[in-house]
Amino acid sequence: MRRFLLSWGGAAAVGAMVLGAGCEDRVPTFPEGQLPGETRAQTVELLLSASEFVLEDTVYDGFSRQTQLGALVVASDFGEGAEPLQANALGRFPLPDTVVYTRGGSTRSDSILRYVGGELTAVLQRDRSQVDGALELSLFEVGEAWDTTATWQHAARGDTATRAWQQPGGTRGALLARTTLSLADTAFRDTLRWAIDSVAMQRLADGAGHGVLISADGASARLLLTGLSLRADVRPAGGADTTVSITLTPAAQRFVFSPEPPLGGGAYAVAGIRGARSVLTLRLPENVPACPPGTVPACGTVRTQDARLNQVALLLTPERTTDGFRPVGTAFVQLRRLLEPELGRFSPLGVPPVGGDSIPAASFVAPQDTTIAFQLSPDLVRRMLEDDTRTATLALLGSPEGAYFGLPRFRRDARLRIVYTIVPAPTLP
Amino acid sequence: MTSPSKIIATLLLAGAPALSLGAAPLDAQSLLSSRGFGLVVDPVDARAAGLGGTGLGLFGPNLSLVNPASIAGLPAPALASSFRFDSFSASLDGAEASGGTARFPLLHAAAPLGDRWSVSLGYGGLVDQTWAAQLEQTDTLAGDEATITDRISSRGGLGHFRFGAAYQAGARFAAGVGLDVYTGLLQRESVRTIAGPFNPTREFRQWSYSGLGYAAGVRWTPSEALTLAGAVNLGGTVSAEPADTAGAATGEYTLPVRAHLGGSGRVGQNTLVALSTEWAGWSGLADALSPGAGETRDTWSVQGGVEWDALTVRERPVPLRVGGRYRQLPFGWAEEAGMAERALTAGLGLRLAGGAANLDVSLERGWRDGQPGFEEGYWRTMLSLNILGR
Repeated sequence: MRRFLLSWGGAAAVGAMVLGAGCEDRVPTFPEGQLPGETRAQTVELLLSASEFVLEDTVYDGFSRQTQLGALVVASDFGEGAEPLQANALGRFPLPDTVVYTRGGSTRSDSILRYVGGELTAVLQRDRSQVDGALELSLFEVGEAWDTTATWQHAARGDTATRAWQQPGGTRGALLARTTLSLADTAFRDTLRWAIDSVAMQRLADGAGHGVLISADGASARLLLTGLSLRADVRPAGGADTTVSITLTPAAQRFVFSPEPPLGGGAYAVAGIRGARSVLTLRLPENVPACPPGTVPACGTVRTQDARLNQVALLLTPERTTDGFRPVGTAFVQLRRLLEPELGRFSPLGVPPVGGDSIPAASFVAPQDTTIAFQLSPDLVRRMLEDDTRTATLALLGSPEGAYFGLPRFRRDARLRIVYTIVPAPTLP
Repeated sequence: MTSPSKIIATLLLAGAPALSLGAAPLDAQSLLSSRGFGLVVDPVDARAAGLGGTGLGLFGPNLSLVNPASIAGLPAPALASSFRFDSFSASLDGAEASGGTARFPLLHAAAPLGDRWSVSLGYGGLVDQTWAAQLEQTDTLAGDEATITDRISSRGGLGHFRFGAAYQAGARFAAGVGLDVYTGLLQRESVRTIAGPFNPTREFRQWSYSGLGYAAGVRWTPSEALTLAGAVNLGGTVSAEPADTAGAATGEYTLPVRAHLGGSGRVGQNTLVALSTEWAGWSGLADALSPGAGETRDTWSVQGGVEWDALTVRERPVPLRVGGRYRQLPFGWAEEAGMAERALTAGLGLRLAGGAANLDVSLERGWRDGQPGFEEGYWRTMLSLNILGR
């Protein structure tokens, strides 16, 4: 009995002590103003102008191809200025000579007797389109051959031969169909449709195979279209009373536009159909003030490495623009480090991004200046401070690259915001 | 002669609380933990706590860490472990604060060595330096109003391992000495958090305490009804070494001399009265403390209590205890703050396994004040288990 009480009673009591010691401490918290002798930390916000931290800057383009946009652009008198944006979409469909279909439970392959009609459809990307009023969208035959190097002035731009359009923007053949777009129409559900009659469809099949051209008139507009698709209704030779529908996607598609994006003009350009990148070499200051400005008595400086950085952000002001390439819809702009800046435009980019932000289109048309803050990642800032030169070369680019037709631009008067805290070192009693 | 199996059983039981001890070796908390060198704590068990904190001069062998001579006369190996829970609330210049903690203030193992000698190894707390402060303010940053929260915290304290030896010279007199190996850790941290897209900032420093001190004590039992005892702790020097941070300061603190006098006497067959006093020379620490530490002064304390063991439950005695204490505190906010602590205590004990184990419980209600605008009240519960191997 004694052994029992000794062992189990003792173990139970010790167990209770061990469990109780695991209870979470509640640390006393002092009332305000009664800190036990410690001095308070001070947080300072420092704004540097471009001349104080930008060593070099350059704008490049050519980092994306039209195919990366994944869409077609149609524009009509979009933007203000001497040259509003115009854009036409081209598509070429491989209309077949034979058709495979099922009749009476068996599969048949027949030559096509005739085309009896069809419909061209395209999906409007509303959040990346803008229309000011009712817009007429016309579907034409393309009047001459073209390829996927076509531009507003040229139907083909190969290495060996360049051929200009007979009509800039794409030579128009016969009018095949028309549709009207009005975003105010509540019945509209984002799909544009051109009904093509039998004569027009037969012309597409019998023609030289140059495809279709979509152009816009009537209102200022810039549209982004995806999912271009042609439904062709045919009568097979072996079944005159049978109609078979064939859905075709383009064998080739492209859009042509005029004028070219304004990459010059002394602004930082990002993204756009030409895949612009703006490259900046930044340098952090060696020292920062040891206290907020205006503190009396004045204090000296501390090394930036010794200050505890809360935020380092590149501040850019969107350049307001009303031209045809202004952003429509939200653009995501990234900052990435150039791993080998001496290679210039050919330098590989670091992963992951060291900053980024989503920028609404309104920032580029608002009546007042707005400021976009690209916060530099703590890892980047740490690397810069560990480097003797305290520099980093960064690229501003769209993300994903090539996904934006619009061209966000920023004023070159960048600023660098450094928020840091001077924390007194804890001391012994 | 104690069998090896009993010794092994005692040591295994000692292992369990020792594991927790490594994680949480410190004592109760108070707003006064932030003042001077911290809040002074007493390495006593629940029996002593129930008697107002009287840690020496009690009849028979005793496993408190106050008097090295108290282990003299142990009939068998013994282990004492104590667990304490504190909860306090305070007001300082009209603002409220509260806190609580659970700690092991004492772990002590002792064993006879032959007929007259006893040796011991124990651990007890000395000062608690755990506190935290949190403040909020708003400021304009990055064009917006941001809430800034500062949290400044200190965690740690100082304790000591006691290597003790005592000699029973005859039936009435015993003497003991102890070597105190001071140990402890102090972690101090400042964190500023800014609401919004801002990284927090943190400054952290850690120091390790180390040092040596010495203790000596006597116990005299002139009659079967009276025991007197005295002890002195020569504080020694404690150094604080930074962990690894370049430029962090080192510190050196001369701990005070502490002198204890006490005794207990039997009044009637079932009643014991205990009384003790202590003086500590904390003022010698003033120059070593940082500027703005506030008052540092020498202190006196008086504590005592009554134990009555006439109550039995199933033929086992259940001692009941009441006590009280008045103690000056060495540190405060302002110069001449005159901080002091008063407490009322109560407790009871259970003798288990025919006296091979004692389970003691105490409850304490205390108050601290002195500086205008400051008052603090606390509740303390302690549980002790003393196991005597046979």
